Amino acid sequence: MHGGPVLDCCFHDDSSGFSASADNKVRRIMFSLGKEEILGRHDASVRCIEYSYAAGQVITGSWDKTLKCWDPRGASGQERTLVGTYPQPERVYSLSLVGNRLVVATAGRHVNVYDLRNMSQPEQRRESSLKYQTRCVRCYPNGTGYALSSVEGRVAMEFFDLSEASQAKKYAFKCHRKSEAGRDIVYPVNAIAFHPVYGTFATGGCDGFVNVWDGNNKKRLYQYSKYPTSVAALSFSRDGRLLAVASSYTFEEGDKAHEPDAIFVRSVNEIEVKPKPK
Amino acid sequence: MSNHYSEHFARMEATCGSLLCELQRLWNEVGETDGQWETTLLEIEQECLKVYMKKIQEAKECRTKLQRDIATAMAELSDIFTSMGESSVQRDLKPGGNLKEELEAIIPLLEDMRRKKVERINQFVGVVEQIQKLSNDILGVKEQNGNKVFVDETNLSLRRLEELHSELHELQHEKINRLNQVQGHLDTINSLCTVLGMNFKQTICRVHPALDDLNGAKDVSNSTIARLAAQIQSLQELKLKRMQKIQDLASALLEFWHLMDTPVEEQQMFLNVTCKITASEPEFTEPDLLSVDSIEKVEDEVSRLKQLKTSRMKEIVLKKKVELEDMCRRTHMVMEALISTDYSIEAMESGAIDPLYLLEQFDLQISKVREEAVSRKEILEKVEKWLAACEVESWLEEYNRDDNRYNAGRGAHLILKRAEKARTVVNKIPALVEALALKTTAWEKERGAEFLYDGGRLLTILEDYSSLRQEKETQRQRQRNQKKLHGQLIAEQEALYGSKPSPTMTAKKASRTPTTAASNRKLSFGGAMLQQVKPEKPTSRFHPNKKADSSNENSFANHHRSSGFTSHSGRRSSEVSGRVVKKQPLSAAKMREMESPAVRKPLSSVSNVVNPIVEQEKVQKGQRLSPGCKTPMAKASKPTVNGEDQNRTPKAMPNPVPTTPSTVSAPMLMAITPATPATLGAYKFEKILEQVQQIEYSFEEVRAGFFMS
Repeated sequence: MHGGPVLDCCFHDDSSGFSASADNKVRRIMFSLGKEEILGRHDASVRCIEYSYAAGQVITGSWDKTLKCWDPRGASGQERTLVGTYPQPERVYSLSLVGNRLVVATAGRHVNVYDLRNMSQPEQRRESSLKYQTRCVRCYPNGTGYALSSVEGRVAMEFFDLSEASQAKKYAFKCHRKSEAGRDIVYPVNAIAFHPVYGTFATGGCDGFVNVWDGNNKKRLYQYSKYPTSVAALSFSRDGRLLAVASSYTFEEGDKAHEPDAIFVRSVNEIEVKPKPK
Repeated sequence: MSNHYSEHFARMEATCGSLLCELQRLWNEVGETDGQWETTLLEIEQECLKVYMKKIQEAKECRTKLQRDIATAMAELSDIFTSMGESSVQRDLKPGGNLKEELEAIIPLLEDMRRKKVERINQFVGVVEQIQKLSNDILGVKEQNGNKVFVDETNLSLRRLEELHSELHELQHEKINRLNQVQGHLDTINSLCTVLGMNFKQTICRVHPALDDLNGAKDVSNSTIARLAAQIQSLQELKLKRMQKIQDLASALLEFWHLMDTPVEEQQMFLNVTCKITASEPEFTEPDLLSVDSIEKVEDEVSRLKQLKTSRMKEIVLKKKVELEDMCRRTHMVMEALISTDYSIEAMESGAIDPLYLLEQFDLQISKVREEAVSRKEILEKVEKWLAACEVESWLEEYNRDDNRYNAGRGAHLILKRAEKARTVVNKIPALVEALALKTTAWEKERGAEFLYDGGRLLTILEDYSSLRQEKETQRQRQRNQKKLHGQLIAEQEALYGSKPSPTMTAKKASRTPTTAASNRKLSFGGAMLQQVKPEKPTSRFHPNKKADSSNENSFANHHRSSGFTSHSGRRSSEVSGRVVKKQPLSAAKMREMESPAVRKPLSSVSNVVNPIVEQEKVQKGQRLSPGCKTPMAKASKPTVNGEDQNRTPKAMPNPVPTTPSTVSAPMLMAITPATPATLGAYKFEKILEQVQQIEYSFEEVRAGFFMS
């Protein structure tokens, strides 16, 4: 049982996963056995959690401004499982893994890129190219860069390679906005999820829409019908045939009456996610 | 006179003599000496000589004066004669006449000649004045009155006068010529200006201001004439240039008209230009024909027609493209395979590709496609036949599945006949496919290329189809075998238990599963599973439920809430759970019925038979609707349920945030004091943005803090 809201979770394999909770604890959950055990603790809410198959470690980011790596094979108890603690400039808001790379987005628009094989210091210390608070960061499945979304209805497409040629490819685009009476109403983009097969990605925003984008051709491929309330999270199934959409009010306008929370799992048509080169 | 003279002379001599005699006598009387007589005689002689000498002198002087006068007069006369060019004939010199007479004669002559001279001079003056005036005019020097006219008085001959007269004539001629020239130039300029549409007065005033004055004296100096000539030259050059330009434009116009069959009314406006297309320069006389405006008009028309032509070209190209696409579609060829370059409309519009070139290309392609279409015709017909046969086959399959097909009804016999025909057709399919494949291979060999049907190689399609057919056949066999086995099993059961399951149920089973399999290709996994599990279903599926019998109600209720799909009110969940519980004793078939729709619900997940709990959820999902929104605020009932579910599966975990704080023992440790965000009141998006300058918070932090405070 979790002592507080569960802010993030991830799979380990088909039978177990991990959870990050606002009660500062990192837990391993065994689905089949219906059991859970505490893997470790942070000093504040654990905001995000990912499992790295390359390193065989669980990586958590917390509002206590640290990043911790855990070895799930160790016996329970923080002392045996904690591999390392890495201080961050600010509270961690989102993190994402691809291959041996880890991208951490914190408050204050900091972005740190780590190589999992050498966590002593970040491979790159960056600043978000968007001017507003980072909501979510996700790496491209092909490992060349990451997508970063902000509260201002914008997504930035970044690349790890710092050469001029690669940096010239980076761009940002506006999304999840509504035009009303000549002004734009911007909505935070809460979630980004990449399609495992095609490399296109879906974004979900507080406007209740899910858009599917082709990052290479810079086009929007599809927009699903509006969900009852803000889209809090998105996830594609491993074969890319299904998309889970969490429609749940994310308190962007404070405490107010809102639609009930729901998770929608929809099948994904090829036409909605397949890139269409010009 | 000489006689008179001599008488007088004699008398004088006599007198003198007598006087002398008297004197002698006197002297004799007086007794003067001979010496004194001699001296006195000498004295008297001398005195007499003196008087005579004086008189002679006087007479001489007179004579000299006269001679001189005559000479002067003669000189003057001869002068005049020479100057007047006449031979100085001294006809009035009478030999033997006295000088006074001579002078008398000469004087009037002289007077006369003087008069004549003056006359002659006046004549000369007149002519020379005129000459000077004219030459002034010609040279362009301003006339200055009071200028002394120079006349050469040494030559006042008639010949000279003649010369001067002829000079004057010449000058007059010259002046007239020049005037004519100037006028001629002005006329030319006038005509040029009319043609070119330029202002005549302005033009000539630029050359010389006085030229404009029709009545005034015209300046005929060389410079003026030269300038006029130069002006004419430049105007003519301009005319020539414009003429050439307009002729070019006119020929372009004619081309366009010819190309696009322009109606006569449109042509009418520009006929004046086009008829002059071969005209030479002098033929351009119509006023304003070569004016700037006129040329602009023609230019505009030419560019308009050019644009029209391009747009028509584009239309034609588009038409060709459509035609090509059409042809390709009809013969089931894919266009992309034929055309490698981008023949899009955008390329044409951007001017990257010349429409003419595109036209050519399209024509080429069309002819190629046509030719290929002819060769493909036979095979395509066969393909049509085959496709039709496939349709018939599928209809037959459908028909075969209908169990009521043998029931007598309206038109049943017609359908039976149709089925019979269909069967014959279906039987011929393999042969058809075989022949088609042979023909295609032959065609491919002949053409040296693959036969493509809508982008795919026909032979591959046929192969796939054949293999698919074979698979279907084997499946059918398997089904038949299974049926046999099943029949045997039933028979065994009958032998064991002494009862047979109702034939209707088995029939339903038989009918239901194939449809699910056929229509639900995506969920074929589920369908197949259903199929396989079919016999055991009624029993196995409910095992987990029966096991968890005691806490069934609760678990279902919790599943409901824990899935987090919707937050139901407590009453609602119990309702649902009640329904779920009631399900258990349902018959197998009914259960399956329940499940098949659930499987097909659009938002439902893939059936995961492995986890029975998940399956239950699936059913509940099928009934998921959003009831009245009750905010996930603290509900008193829930915490108790939470406590029970401490050790349950994760799915049994509760729910929404608000319930937990009341049960959490340890306070949440926040890095930032929650109080700060709370004081900001209602969080509008802008306020959150403002906070960026202060300490920023994510929505989760705000929310967590909000509930903590």
